[in-house]
Amino acid sequence: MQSITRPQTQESQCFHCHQPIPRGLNLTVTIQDSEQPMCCYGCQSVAQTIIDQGLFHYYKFREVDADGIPQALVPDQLQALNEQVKAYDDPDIQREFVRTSNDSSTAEVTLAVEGMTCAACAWLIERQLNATQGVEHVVVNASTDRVHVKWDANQCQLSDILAAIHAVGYRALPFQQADLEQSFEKKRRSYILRLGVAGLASMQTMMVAFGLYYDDIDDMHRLYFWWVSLLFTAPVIVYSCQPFFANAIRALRARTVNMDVPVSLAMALAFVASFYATIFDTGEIYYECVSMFAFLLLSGRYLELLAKHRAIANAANLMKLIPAIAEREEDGQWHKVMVKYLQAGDSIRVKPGEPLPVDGRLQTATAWCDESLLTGESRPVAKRAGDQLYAGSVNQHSPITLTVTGTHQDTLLSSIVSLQDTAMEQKPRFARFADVVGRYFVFATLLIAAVTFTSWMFLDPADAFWITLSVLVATCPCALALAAPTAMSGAINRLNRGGILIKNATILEGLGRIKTLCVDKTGTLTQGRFSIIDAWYHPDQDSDHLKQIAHSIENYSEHPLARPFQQLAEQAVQLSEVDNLPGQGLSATYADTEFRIGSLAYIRQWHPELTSPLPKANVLLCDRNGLLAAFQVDDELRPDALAMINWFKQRRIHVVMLTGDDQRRAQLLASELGIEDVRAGLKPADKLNAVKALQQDGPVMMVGDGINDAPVLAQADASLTFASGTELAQAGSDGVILNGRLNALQKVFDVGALTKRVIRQNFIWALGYNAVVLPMAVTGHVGPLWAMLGMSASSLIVVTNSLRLMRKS
Amino acid sequence: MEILHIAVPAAILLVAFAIGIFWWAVRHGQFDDLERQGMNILLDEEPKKAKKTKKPDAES
Repeated sequence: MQSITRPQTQESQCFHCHQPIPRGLNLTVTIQDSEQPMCCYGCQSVAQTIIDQGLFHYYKFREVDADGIPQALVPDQLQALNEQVKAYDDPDIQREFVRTSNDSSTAEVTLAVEGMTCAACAWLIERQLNATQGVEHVVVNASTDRVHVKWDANQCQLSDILAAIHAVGYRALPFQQADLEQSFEKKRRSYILRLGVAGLASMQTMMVAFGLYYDDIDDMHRLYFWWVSLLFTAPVIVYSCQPFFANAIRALRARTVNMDVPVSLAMALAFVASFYATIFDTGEIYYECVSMFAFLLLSGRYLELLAKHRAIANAANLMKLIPAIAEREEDGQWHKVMVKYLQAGDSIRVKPGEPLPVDGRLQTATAWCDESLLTGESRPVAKRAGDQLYAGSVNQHSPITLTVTGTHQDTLLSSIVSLQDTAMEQKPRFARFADVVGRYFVFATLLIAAVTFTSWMFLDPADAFWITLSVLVATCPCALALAAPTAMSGAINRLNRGGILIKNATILEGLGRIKTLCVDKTGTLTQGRFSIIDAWYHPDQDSDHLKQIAHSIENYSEHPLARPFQQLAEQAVQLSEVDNLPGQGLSATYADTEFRIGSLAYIRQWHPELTSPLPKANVLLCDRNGLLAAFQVDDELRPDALAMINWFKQRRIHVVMLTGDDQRRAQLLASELGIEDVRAGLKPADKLNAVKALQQDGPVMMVGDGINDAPVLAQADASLTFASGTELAQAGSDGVILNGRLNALQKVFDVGALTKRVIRQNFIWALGYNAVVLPMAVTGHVGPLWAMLGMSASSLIVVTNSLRLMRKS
Repeated sequence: MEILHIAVPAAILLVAFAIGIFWWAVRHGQFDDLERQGMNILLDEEPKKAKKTKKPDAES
């Protein structure tokens, strides 16, 4: 049996997800007789499931991105998800997306899968589901990241299927299928058929045309060949060319012209003339031109459609249908109900770590709420009984109960949503170069063709027709039409492999014009969670021992700053006399020694003269004799934040920080990163106004991830968000950074610049070629066949040039 | 040259047949995902073995 050689992992990397392994952790999974290191219990259980199912092929064939990191699968929250998915078994919820057979024995669903990056993932999911009891039919589509499942409703539940997918490390959820998508799917299939018919027909007509080139062909055979060509070309005109004719007629009805007008005109003229010639056995035929022309044009259109379809499917995948379930008190008992049935005045319970489904008033004595998504405030806010809580904020510790005050339209959250909707409508669009040039070009082509025809009617009426036809075909704007869309789809594809999903491709062309970059603070420049950034340990003490004590005491605390300590050591020591003083710290006794951990003020009660060896330390540990350790706990910067800011400064793009957090903390971070323009304490509407003002000076790009950023993301000329960000933010932005790295921004700019260059090159080529061939065609030096071949070569060059974008840098 | 009177109609029939098959394939979603089917040939080893061991069980 082969050993697994790819991807090569280093000693300190998790075999499954390639993340670094935390020190002191020793988890392994036996994969093909060798122990492979794992970074967490999540990865361990995923890897074990994969191996238990005999699916180790996955590790052999999965694709790895440029940095050697598989772009997926850090299964932190998968465990929590498994509980959440139970809610999907509710028939009320299922009605929205599950199709059941008439006797309700089988059910079908299409799920969007997160973390699927290559064919190996698709294979893994398919195998896993096939092994699940009750699953009848599975199709995994790797290009749209969808899974279609049909299962026996009596043997298993939807939640079993979701859990089976989670077990191998992917997150699968039903999604809101865009209405657009279904019609796209139909269109795509019809285009393939049209393309196939045109392709086969053009091969046949070319073959026949070859026979016609021999001069010694007798008249009877010539006519026979003409009829055969007609037979092959008729379906092309009647069926394959339909979209062109339909588009042209639509444009003419609206009293404008588009690229389909000259195309349709050329094809209709050529076919009618050939048809006339065949019936009356006179003149010339152009069948092979017509069908080849149709085939080449259709392939261009098809490529464009594919790129669009993919973008739409990806965008739809992001719109997850998450059933909002709440626990409501009914007759002294807790019942699960759907959030939409909640009424003002109900009592509901929210578990720690869960977002609040509605606005409400706190009943529990105290609570910590993380409102960072709503306000940008990075530290959890302490709430007391009677305080107002907002939908979308996250309960940090211990279950809380609250009285519902606002649902649906009355919540703070939905007021932000409506702000986003209006911003979306006002969003400025980058003018597409192709649209502007294309319109003038088509007009010019039609005009020149008309002039050519009239002039030749006077000079030599016999040649007038084919010369006009040559002009129309040779100057066919299809290279022009392909120039931008092919470049865009190449760029989208390249970015997608780099872990960036582009939903709105038009931004790529406009990135070079961006004057201002607005960044959100919490969750964008920072990780959005607290960690120990810096630590100092007394040099005479064993630091591991101190860590253990800090860890053990902080286990008793519910304060958000205590969180990172709970992962500081593996084992807790037995403490006695633990005392928790809210707002100050904790004290405890271990091995007859009293310890204190907490704020500087709290420590100074014992050691009034004490100064911290770490200037920014905010958590300190001491005993009666003196300070033992100091920790700086804060929201950690993303590692590439500084490099990103500098990169933009070098390009003379003005960087602005927009945050809802308070001025002091924002300023601290900004000075560390060298951001001069800081606007802190902003509400979503303030952010929106700030961006609108900045847009007066030039296009603005926004990067953010919170609900409070959503309106701004919609308003900015170009916007990016993180896959870990809120769904609302994803809905409003033009692109989503899937790999969670800020350097993705630079990648987007680089690819954007490259795209623009390629589009320029394409235009120069297409227009240049037309400029050369047009005089020749007008003067009658190019026959229709040569015109067609030249046009095709020109298109091919454009497409090939665009495909360069897909190559890895 | 008489052969043309047979060969060309034969070609027409073949093309009609090809279009028919193509139509069937498109209708049945054969072109929906062109990325991953190419990989399938590389990945299929294990389950086949599993099936082989299962089959005798089912028959007995």
